[in-house]
Amino acid sequence: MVITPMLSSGMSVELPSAGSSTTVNDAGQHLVLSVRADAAIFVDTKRSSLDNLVEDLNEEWRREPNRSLLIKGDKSLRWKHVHGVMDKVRENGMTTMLLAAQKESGGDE
Amino acid sequence: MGMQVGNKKGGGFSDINVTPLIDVVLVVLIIFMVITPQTIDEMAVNMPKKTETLKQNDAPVDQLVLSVCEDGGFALNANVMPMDALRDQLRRRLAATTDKVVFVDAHPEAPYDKVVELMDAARAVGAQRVGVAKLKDPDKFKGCTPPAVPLPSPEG
Repeated sequence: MVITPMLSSGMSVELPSAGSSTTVNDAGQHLVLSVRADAAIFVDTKRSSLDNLVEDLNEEWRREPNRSLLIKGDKSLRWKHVHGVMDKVRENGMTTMLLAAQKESGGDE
Repeated sequence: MGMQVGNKKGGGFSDINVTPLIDVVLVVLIIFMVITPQTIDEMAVNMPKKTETLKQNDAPVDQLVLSVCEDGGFALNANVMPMDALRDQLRRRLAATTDKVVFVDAHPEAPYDKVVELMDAARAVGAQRVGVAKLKDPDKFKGCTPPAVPLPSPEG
């Protein structure tokens, strides 16, 4: 029970909250791209950078294709950090991606 | 004097052997750990397909553009307004459209959680697709400043 949170894919970041998101089981069907509060980028749990991002992502996809991309961004990030990452992914040809969020307690809609 | 086992009256009664119980409990614990991966919430967003951008005039007039300002404020088509008002307006205007698409444009320094909050609100009031606008230079970001020159009026 203590180590369960660590089993979730990607790095641990503090996610922004959202009420209308759909809950999914985070059990390996996504390729997780994490952006930590200090703007450090991780592909799954491997440290990456903006320059190596495309390479690292493609490598992951070669290993296991048919995974959608889930971006976990820390809520204290600035938009340019997240957008920079999304832009790199888009350059790689993927135009739909998922943003991870935390379920709001008692969403208002 | 040996170790005392059992209670004083029962004589031969010894402690229950708890070792198998612990074995079973541990196995159950491990099973729960494996089948309870953390759940995560997600939202789908769309990035523009091509690098070349649409000119401002090419965009349909009824295009809904949501903006997040540098200070974390929100704007609908460059009109800054509080979140509640934005929700109401957006709900009404989305109901009038058929494609239910909104674009999110945020200042580069805008807080990411505000951007997610805005996307979330847009989806909550009926947007089916959320697009992400190209990142602007901080000084070229116009999402929170209403156009200085108003649109030409019919009689003008």
